[in-house]
Amino acid sequence: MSMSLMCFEAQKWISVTVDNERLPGAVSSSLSAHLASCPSCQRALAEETKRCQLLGAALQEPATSLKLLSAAILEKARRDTALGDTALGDTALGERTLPSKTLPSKALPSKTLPSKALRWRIASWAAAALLLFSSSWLVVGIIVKTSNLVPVVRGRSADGPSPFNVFVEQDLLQRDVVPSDDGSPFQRERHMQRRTLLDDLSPGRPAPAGAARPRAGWDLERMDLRYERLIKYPYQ
Amino acid sequence: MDKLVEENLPWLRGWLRGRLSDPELVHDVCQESFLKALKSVSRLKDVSRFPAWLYRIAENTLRDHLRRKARWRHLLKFTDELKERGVEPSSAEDLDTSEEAEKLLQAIRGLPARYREPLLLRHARDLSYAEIGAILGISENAVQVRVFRARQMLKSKVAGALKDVSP
Repeated sequence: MSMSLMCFEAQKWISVTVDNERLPGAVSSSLSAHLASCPSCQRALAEETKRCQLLGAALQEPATSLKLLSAAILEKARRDTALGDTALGDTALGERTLPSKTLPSKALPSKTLPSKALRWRIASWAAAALLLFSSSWLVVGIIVKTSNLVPVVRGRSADGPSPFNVFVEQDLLQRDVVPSDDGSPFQRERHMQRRTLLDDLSPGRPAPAGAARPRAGWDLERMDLRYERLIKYPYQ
Repeated sequence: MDKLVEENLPWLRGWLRGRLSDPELVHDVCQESFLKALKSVSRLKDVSRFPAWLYRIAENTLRDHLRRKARWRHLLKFTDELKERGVEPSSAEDLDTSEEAEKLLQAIRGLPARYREPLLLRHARDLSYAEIGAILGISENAVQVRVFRARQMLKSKVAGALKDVSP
């Protein structure tokens, strides 16, 4: 029993026909019947057949040139592997009789060594990681250097009994941190001078040996204002 | 090894010819793909899967070549290849045929890969749907559908390019 086909269905089976594929039994007779009565599908079949011939002619190489190419490939493959035909050919065809242990070591693929591309990739990753690490440290260094914030401030009491009982702020290198006009945080000499001056001026306290006496015209008031930033709380 | 080359070279060569218009490049890619495949064929457990494996290798090799070409800005020669190389067809009829074939190949190159690949493999060496399916890793039925759709697309693309054929 044959079924009737629409043109679209018929064209689907025409495609199968021109490829020399087997059609289902019922379809085969239906297609023949349809083609006999449909000029457009006949034309489609003819066009498709012609297109296939054209494509076949364009894509399929003559046997002679294929033979040449095949010979070139085989020769190069044998030369590249440096094993001759036996190991490669037998392996390819599944006919190898020798156990792999008897083969010379260079015949075995080196699985441990990464490929060239992989090695380059690993090297570039390592370089990128190193660059990132060093640049992050550089950034941290710049931040610490440019900001006036000393990362850790530790205190120590002023030497000896003093009515001022000051804590002197110190940085990590145990340098005294003294605020100044020009913004530089470490001015140990000026700080020592000021501390000596304050010690000298304290009531009932003799000036320590070698302490410099304040010169006339020192702006004591201004100095005190600066210095009070260092006075946190009385030393207990 | 000879058998593997003998069986698979025709379709690979045809498929590459469909993808590229430069015959030298086709030759190079074909040779390089085979050499790569044969070099490591011992790793392939099932030799019957060699065609599919070779197809993947050839596809990657082709992609590498095209990328390299693009990088160095060497334009591929798509048309006029026959004239440039002095392989002119012998007669006017041959010229017409080769022009038509080139137009068809150009149109096929413009198809989506999903439809282009089965069609090219089909015409590269008259491979059966089952063989094409094994290479592409799809079912026989899928090959049939894709080939049909590729032909429909091709038909609309080259409509009028072919000469009238009387039934």
